[in-house]
Amino acid sequence: MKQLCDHCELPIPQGVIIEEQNKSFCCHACKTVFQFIHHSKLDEYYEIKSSLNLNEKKRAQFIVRNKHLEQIDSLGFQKRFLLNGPGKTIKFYIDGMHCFACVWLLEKLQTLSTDIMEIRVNYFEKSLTLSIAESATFIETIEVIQKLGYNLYPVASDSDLEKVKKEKQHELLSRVSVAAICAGNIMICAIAVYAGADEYWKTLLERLSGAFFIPILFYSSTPILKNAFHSLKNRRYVLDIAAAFSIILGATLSYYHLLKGSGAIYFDSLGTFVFLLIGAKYILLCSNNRAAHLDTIDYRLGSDHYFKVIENSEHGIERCKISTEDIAEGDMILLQPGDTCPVDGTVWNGESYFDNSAISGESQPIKVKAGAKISSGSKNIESEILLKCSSNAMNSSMGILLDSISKSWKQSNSITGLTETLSFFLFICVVLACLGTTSFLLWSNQSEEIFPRLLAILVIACPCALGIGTPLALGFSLKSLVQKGILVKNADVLVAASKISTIFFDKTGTLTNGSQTLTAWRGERNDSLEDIIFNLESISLHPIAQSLCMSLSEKRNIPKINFVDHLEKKGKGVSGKIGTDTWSMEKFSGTEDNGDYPNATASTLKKNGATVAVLYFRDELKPESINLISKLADLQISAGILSGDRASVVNYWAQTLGLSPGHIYSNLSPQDKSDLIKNTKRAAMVGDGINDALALKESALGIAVKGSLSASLKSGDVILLENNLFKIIELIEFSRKVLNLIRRNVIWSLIYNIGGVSLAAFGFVNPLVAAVLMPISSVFVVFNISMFFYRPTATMSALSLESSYAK
Amino acid sequence: MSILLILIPISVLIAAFFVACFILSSKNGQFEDLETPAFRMLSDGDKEKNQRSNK
Amino acid sequence: MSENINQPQLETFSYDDKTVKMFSIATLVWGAVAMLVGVTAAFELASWRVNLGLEWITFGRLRPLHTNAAIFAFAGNAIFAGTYYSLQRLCKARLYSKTLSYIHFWGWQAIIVSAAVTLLSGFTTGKEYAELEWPIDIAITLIWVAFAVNFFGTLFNRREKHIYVAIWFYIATIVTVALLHIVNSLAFPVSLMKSYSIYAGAQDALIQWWYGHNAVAFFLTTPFLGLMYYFIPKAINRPIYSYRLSIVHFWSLVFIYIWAGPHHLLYTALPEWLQTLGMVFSISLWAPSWGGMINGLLTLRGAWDRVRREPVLKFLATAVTFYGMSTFEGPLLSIKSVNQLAHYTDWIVGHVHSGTIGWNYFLTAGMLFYMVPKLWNTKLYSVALGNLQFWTGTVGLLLYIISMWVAGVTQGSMWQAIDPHTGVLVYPDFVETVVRIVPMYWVRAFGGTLVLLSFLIMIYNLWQTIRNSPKEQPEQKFQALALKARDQKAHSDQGHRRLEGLPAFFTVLTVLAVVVGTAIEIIPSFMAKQFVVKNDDVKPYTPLELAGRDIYIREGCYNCHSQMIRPLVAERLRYGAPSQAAESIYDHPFQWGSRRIGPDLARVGGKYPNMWHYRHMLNPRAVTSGSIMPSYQWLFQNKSQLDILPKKLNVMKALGVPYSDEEIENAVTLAKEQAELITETLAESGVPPEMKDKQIIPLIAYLQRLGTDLGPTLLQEEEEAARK
Repeated sequence: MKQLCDHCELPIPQGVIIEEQNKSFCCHACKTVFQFIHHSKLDEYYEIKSSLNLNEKKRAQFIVRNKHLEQIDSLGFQKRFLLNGPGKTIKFYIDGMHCFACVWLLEKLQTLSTDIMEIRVNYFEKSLTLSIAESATFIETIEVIQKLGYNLYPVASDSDLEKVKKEKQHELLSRVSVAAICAGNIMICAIAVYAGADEYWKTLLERLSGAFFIPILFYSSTPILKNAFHSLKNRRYVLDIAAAFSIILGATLSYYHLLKGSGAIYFDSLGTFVFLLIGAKYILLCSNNRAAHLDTIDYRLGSDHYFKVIENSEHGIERCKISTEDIAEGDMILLQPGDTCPVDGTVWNGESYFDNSAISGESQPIKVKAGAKISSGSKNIESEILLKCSSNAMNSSMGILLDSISKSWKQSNSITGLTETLSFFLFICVVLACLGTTSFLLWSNQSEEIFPRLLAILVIACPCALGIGTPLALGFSLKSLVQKGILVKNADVLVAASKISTIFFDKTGTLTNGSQTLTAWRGERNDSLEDIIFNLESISLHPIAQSLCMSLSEKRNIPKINFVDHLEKKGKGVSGKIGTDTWSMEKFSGTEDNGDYPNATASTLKKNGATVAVLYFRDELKPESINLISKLADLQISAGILSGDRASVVNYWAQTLGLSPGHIYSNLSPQDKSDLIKNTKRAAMVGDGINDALALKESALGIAVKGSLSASLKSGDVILLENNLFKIIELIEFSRKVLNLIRRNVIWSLIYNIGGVSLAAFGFVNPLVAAVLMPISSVFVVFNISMFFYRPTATMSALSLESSYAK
Repeated sequence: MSILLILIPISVLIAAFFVACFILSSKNGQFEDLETPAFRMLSDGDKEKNQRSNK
Repeated sequence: MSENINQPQLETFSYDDKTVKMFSIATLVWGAVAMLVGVTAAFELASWRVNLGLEWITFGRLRPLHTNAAIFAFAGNAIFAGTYYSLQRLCKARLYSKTLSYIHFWGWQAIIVSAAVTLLSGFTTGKEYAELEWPIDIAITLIWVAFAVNFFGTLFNRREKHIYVAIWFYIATIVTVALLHIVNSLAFPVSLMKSYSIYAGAQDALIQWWYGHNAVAFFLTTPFLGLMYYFIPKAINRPIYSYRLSIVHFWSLVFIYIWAGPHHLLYTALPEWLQTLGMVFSISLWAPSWGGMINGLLTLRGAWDRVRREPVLKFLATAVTFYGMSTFEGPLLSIKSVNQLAHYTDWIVGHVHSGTIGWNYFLTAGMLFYMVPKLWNTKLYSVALGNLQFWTGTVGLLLYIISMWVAGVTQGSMWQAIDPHTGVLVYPDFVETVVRIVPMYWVRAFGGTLVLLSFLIMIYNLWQTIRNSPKEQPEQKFQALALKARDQKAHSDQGHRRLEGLPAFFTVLTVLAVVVGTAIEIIPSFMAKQFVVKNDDVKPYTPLELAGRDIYIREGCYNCHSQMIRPLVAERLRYGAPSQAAESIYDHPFQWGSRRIGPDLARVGGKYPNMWHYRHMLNPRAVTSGSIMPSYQWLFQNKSQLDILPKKLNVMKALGVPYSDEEIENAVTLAKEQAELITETLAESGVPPEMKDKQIIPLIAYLQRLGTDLGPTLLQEEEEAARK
């Protein structure tokens, strides 16, 4: 029996166990989170968590805090995000929130400081609204939240889109409620009449139900009627047409009979029908809107302000603050370490390392000197440089990319494609049946028969399974997918997902962790050396230095050592003196491939110039990557890599993963990626960086993994809310199941409708029977669907659990 | 038939009011999030903030 | 700190738990009383001697006290305690007004005491579950208003935007109960302690059972569902299984319950379709009820080990289970064919108790076990005692339900048993069917005792808990943002209406939902002329008969004797022609009854000689051996007050009973004459003439009148019909 981590309650892999105040953890993230929770006296969190007995447990991810939130307290930022609320309020889309215990934890944070006025979580749309005192700053709170392993994406305040969608939703909901209430009352009357209310009461109750049907007809059913009308105008056939027909005809006939004082009335079944139809529409709309707030995530990157340098005859060089939008071609700007380059340009002077992984997928930082071209989106790592801008933010390579993302329009390979053809066929049948019947009845002059019989046909022809079943099935599936941690932006994606035959992965940050980690240590190693390295590197901003420090400090608390003239030589490394000894940590100057550690960067620890140890760093695979590939094979899905990284690196990992070389591509520009995807049929793209964004948009199915840059969150069809690639498998399996369900419903409805229509045409079914049959068939479909969605959920999540941690 | 004059107005009224209720309450966001409240009720409110936590 | 100045202040507040504590204690006290009375009544049925010949504790008077105490005293206080506790916490706000809380508490207790006194001394309106006379009814209304104001005041001051589903259930309760109570209790006072319902016969029956059913629905169900939706998640520290479902549950319940009333009147003189409507609604009630139950039980999923360990959860879980059971049994019983067998039998009694004990008592117990330790910030005194209580209670309850079910089915089938060859009743003598089930009455009494015992155990357990609680109880302070502070800005941009409007809104809605239900049910009854065939042979009661009728009501005869012959062959053979709506149009209130511990009396008039009734009331066993009816000696000692008759007749006239003015003037003399006549017939058998002004005489007069107006003619008609 494996020991469980005291934070995430997952089995602790051998070796990595970390003991702390007689608790044990599987990783340092867990430890940190636990300690924080413990010190904030929020231990109740664990009780709640256990009382929920979740069957899906999550490993806390240690989130490197998003640079773009650093500026959150800057004016420009708040201009974009501040909402109306008490004090200062900002709404975030939050990911990493996987159970109600998180809600508790997050909302309890407001007790920590009096600056926080309120934290409200919306578990339903996975968002968090944070209000703080006018005078306080957001950053501390946000850091705490991120420390707990949640990722925040601010929601732009000027998101009219969302507001509109909400209003639409409210409106539909009220239509539904009208339908529900009126239909309900009509039912009461109907039952009383069927129960044999005598003449006096009968007429009274029938008139009453007639009155109740008015709002249904003129308010609730308008979306159906409108839709039918428009599609008729555009010569398109949609399900609503049949529905609209029977509603109108049924209503007319019923009212006619009501006034005439004789003949059957169908308010009850028509009412129920409208209610069900509108209800289904509502459910679908809700689940589609759920993803809506994602579009409002702001994807502009990096800090807002840069320093513009102006040569000026009187008093030499002068710096002034300038914001991204105002940068013009030809300007000179300073890029501090940590800044992301807002525009394209060339290095004017200074030298530094730039991290291009976001744009190119290149896994290792590249060195730049004066004259080197820098493209927007790449990140300055090491030291300040002066940049001559060759573009402004808009027409920079990044600007164009983002632009094309928001422009490029994905035509929906709609699920209704299937249903539409079927229902068109159905429609023809109905029309023919109607014409046939009418002409026959006219010929055999029983014209008084025409109306009822046409109605019977139309009522029975209402394609409930198509009209109600399909949207309902889609709506439910989106909902249950979110519960599984898979956020699907619209229903059509399911169709795509079920058809996928190839999946392309971006390498850096998708298959791999996307950060350089210590993989090997050649030469002497002991604590004192580690202390020295840690303290040496601690002053460096270089990502390798940072990850090294992190990994060293994870094991134990490292004492502070003070160096004499402790400094960082650009492009060389860091050095410092203890007593007489000069210690330095330098970039390894050996052969390109570092011996038996291919595609790894190495640096050497030197004492007075003599090499003491060599440390190798590289970007490691995510733990689940390998199993993932084999699992995909089982599903007859071939996997491949699309990377901007160097061939050597890509191929190395391709071999490790046992991928067939057929689908391995390297040195790709974002454009290449998207072209490749476009030309591959039924291909899915999985990625995280900006360089993937376009491909995500163009692919049949774009999947953005957790922690992606918001650009790809925006362009992906599917977003994995958890950092676990197995969700992809789950998505595909689930979508296939759902599609089968829908097909079953469609077939059932066709049998029912065609059979019914032909019977009605020959007058075997009178309108009343039809009116009774129709709701029954709809209810059957609804039942069928809900059975599907309420039964398997348990097994599903169980499956997801063992699959994701099967190792 | 005098009963008609009592029954129908009342019934129509209530229907109207039900609708109004739904519109109003959904506008107020009462039905927007039907998951978090179920959890939020579990805490009896936040204890008074201890002053030491402000700097 | 300076920054607080320019920010909306966080408000600091605390909860008013004193009121909650008081109501909790009252719950315990009255619960014990109600059950004690119930057990006594149970033993009186098992053996007629138990009332010790004391008039004020005969079954006829104890039973109303038991029902009233159980519903309004025990359940009532429990509801108030739970509501006030959860409301404050759900709203993050203190109770609206200390004074109102006090008025509410003491007022309610005063009402209960006065109810106990008046009911035992025979002041009753004769309407089940609404026996209290008009002054107390008014008091109830006032206190209820105080409760409502206090409730909504708190709701308006809330600091939590969302109105949790439990609160909606409370709102429904407050509004509906007020409406039900007022509509049903409308009466015309004769004297301080006597009044006549403004409704008569079939109309009264409709109103009464619309009330009667909804008293159960909105006093014993919706508030407790609200409590369930609060206390189960709290107790297990886990959100309700599906919040969405709970909201659907609420609205469908509110909407359907209202119409379910008529199922209490199946096979009565009500129009067929109305009965069917009632039946259909009762059956469709099954869905939402079970929705609620499933929601409650699934919340406990995967935590059954805790249910086994912790009394709180144990009681809550069992309560929900029993709720499911009785909400399944209810619809079942309202299916006509089942109802035909079960109606008027003990099955119904068992059904009711599976609800009140299994659902209300157990849920209350769970609630108290959760609340009390928290309120007195201490731990429960003894889990062992909790378990002991649980098992005693459960066993007692099961004994109760099973015995009543057996008794019901036995008696029901015996009533209907007809010899296929001869076509006559197998058990023509009603008392046979009673004697057969007396053993079951002993079992029931024993089961009841166990339940009472379990309740006493709880009282001890909680009393110890409270006693061992720390002496000084610091009041916990809380902080939250005022709702206004949060909304003002939000409103300004999105043009939202003020949220405070919302609860008011739900209130209006619930009112209207109820109103429509009322309309559907009551308006027909006001339009009685539409279907009640007015028959000129039906005459108002003579003054003496009216006096007798009031004695009949005072002694609570309706608790054991129905006055409604159903259109079934067996009843036709046993009692005579089926009752017609026309026969009771002058009955303010109606006396159709709901249980036949004794035979139906709708057509008892003229069936026996006066002397039979005389001896029967003196000692039932003198004329029917094995009868379990108590002796009514005091009717032979107390003088009947006839002087108030003119007043009574006046009131009746005002209510539309066609008494002529001279009738009213000479009411007393008329009564005296009739009394003379009856006494003469009795004198033949040696009854002393001075008996003529004793209460027994008017009673005999009334009994001899029952069903005589139409009975004979109806029989003739039937025979003619048979001949054709």
